[in-house]
Amino acid sequence: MKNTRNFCIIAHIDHGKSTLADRLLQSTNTISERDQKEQVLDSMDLERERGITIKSHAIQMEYHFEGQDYVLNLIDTPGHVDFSYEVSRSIAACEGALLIVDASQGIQAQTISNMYLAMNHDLEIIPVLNKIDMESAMPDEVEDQIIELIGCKREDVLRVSAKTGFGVDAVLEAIIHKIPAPKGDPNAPLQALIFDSVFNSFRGIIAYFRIMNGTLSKGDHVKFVATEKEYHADEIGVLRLKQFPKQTMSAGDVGYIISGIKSSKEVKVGDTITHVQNASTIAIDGFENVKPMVFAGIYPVDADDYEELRSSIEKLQLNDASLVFEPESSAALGFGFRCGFLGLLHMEIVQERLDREFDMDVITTVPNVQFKAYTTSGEMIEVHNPSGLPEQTKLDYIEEPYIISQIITKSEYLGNIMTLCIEKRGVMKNQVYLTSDRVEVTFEMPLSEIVFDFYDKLKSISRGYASFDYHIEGYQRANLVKLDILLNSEAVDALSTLIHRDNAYSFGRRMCEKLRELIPRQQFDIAIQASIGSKIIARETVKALRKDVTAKCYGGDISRKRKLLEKQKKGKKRMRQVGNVEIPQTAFLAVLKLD
Amino acid sequence: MFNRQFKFIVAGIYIHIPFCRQKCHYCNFFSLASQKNLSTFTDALLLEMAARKDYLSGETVKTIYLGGGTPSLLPVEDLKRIAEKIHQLFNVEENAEVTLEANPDDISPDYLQQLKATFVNRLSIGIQSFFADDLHYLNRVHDENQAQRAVKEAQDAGFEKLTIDLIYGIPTLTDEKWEKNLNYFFETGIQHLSAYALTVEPRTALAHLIGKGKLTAVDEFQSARQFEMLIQRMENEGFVHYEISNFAHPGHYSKHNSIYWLGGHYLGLGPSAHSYNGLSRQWNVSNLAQYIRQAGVEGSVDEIEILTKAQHYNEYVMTSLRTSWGCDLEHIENVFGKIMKAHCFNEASKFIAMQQLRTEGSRLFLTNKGKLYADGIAASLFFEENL
Repeated sequence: MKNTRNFCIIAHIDHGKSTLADRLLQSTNTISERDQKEQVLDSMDLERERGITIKSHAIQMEYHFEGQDYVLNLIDTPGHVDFSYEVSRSIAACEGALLIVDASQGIQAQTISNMYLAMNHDLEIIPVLNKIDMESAMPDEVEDQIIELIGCKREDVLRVSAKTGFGVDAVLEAIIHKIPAPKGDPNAPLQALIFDSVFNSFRGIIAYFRIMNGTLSKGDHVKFVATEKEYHADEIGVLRLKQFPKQTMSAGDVGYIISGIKSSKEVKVGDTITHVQNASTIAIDGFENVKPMVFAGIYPVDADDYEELRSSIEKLQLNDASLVFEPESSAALGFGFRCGFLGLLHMEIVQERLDREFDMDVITTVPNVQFKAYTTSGEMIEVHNPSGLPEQTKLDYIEEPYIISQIITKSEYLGNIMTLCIEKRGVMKNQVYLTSDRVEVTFEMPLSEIVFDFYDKLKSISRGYASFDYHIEGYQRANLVKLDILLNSEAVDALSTLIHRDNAYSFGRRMCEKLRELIPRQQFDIAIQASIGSKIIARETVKALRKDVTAKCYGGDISRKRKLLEKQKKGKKRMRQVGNVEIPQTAFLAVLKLD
Repeated sequence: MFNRQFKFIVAGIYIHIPFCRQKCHYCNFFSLASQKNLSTFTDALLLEMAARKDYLSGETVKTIYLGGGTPSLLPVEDLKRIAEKIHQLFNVEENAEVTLEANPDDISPDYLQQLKATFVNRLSIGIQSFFADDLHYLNRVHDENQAQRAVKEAQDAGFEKLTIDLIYGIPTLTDEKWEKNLNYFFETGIQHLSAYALTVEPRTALAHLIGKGKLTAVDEFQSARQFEMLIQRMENEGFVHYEISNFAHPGHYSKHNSIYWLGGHYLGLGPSAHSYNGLSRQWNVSNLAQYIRQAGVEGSVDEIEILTKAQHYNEYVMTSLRTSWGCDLEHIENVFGKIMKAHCFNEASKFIAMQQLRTEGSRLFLTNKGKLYADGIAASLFFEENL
């Protein structure tokens, strides 16, 4: 145990986490350069393309150093706010963390919040200044930021170029010298922390764990504390590039367990594995049932694909337990599913995976957060969909989720950012200058406000410089109204939103304007109206198409025109009908494209 | 392969003459506002003819059409060389319809006399409007006097088969002026009219000038209204609306253009010309220098498209619906099968209910109301490849 080091990497997207991880794997001969696909740890294509790690993984390295053999377990962490709970569990499995900061970009908001998480878990932080080979690198300045932030000594900051390999050996040395060996009692009752799981179509769900105390052997009868399910440890082992089975593993070890689990729901990140006999009475701290915060309807473009969509989402769920779904139907969109996501990125990833891995063409409705509606009889109803709101007469009040958000920016953009946050009903809680021109602001704001277009706006008003992180803070009472969109007097359920009363008018007006652009002209006028209850608050008209006929149709025109109309026909087939109005798919996401 | 209304195949030849005095603002055809290379062009054309003489597989050529560009810029001597070569290489029917597009400013009694001595027996005169401001908007070369005179001179020269082009929907063309243009047409006694809605095609001078605010934009409502006026007036005068933009007294239809609409075969010669022989569609290069260089050597064809069954069906629906012969469901069943027929009728039923289509026997026709929406209706009746 004394020669084991468990560590993770904390970094902002693109600051070089995966490249450095690859370098460590090379330096320890865990992989050769030849069979290395770029960034081994990011195994999903989507991850590689986006340059971000969506799901965490783990890998074991062996390193001979100063006459001794060491086992280094790198526990990779996802790099986005949506997955902060999973990050916290990965951190809980480690004794140390590499804090990677891009020497030209400086510290970002998300790095800071994850670093605080690591510090709260008493992890040893090894600061790494990466990309020092870049022309735009400002190593001294960024070093100042790091020292300011974690209070380390200047010589503690390692200067590295993961790209060229410069400084990588020093990183390995620091891991061994600075990160403490795991503690824990191999003879105590078993306590193993589950920090991740993956689905394998032959072997079922494979759970990744870190043993905090006790010893686990192949064939042991184990139980998962939170789910109260019992299994036999059919196979246990460590993770290198491939799974490497073991007979016995004990306190401090990181590995996997295969026990014939079929459903990802049975393996909860943060859960504790113990023995059925001689069970540990104490579960490892910090377990949470992760709840989705953002909901959206997902509908097949072609109604006939409903069953296929269901099986695709089910398959996705096998290795993404945080995705939840239930059938729903919409007058406008037909049959589909209400899906719950951890956040917006998670939603995007699910959409893209449906497209890439399952070739599913889907329409995604406007996302909304989970509201709590309280009825006059004192009942609380969780509302995932504006149409699920109780009748006005039975509704007492609504609560919506609030977040605490941290934004780090160059100070020159601070004014614009504050204006944006205040527009989004934010209340400033704190403001700290990290350096003379970098500032961290903390805002409390409703989650629903960032679900729409907050992040893109933040990026554009700060020229991409501001970084953003948030965590859910709780629920607060809100003055929300249900805004409906009517097309020729028929409500389009998929376009309804719950929105703060103060914003309803301008929102309704902009929705109508946007829809006017997106709905193609038809043979009759189309009235687009926004309403609250029976009150119409905005109106636009798509004027009737007066004429749709080509003048000339000779020789080459025939083929040209045919191709054009074939394209039109294809687009038409994908439209949805409400009353007599044909609505293109893009209209269902109109709300995301306001402004 | 999917031949249509004709009991036996009708074939024609189209010759594209890519020269103009100046480009009209709305024109998106391939033509050059220069007459350089005129004589080398004719040489190349004759070479192309020889190289592609087998495209029509020896079918009888019933029509020849010289379009442009401005075919009336072509010296009569060149016309004679073309005629000679065509008769040498192709099986041309004795009374074949031979149309030449002529601009009013090229027409003179002298020119017409020379033309009479060639194989040309039908003139299509590009009048567009009898008013100066409309002609100015369109950037036409001729003026209103030339427009009036050209028609008279063509009739005096003894051209019995005549047609003129008019354009409506020009922002300067008020409804009153449009009525007058139609009146002028009726007064001439000409038996055929092509009337086109002014269309702003992308990458034309017109699109550019409207975009820049230098010309008034075309108004869809005016265009629709004037189209309705046109249909009404032509009906009243006993003309058959035999294609969306074409009207004629019975017996005076353009045989050549009917080939396009009825699925006949045609060989297109000259740069950018387009050919169809029932199996493939082909496009010639849209570049004069390249055309001249290649016509006799590696060939003039730039692109070939082999049509699938669904594409054949779609073309049939799109073109036939525009005509007074209508879209024949029985024909669809015979040629494309029961499924396509059922699909077509099924899609059509909505438009029948909206009185934009009507049935007569086994045929579907656009109603006058439906004629305004011919494209959208055709698209709805289309068959998607992967169904």
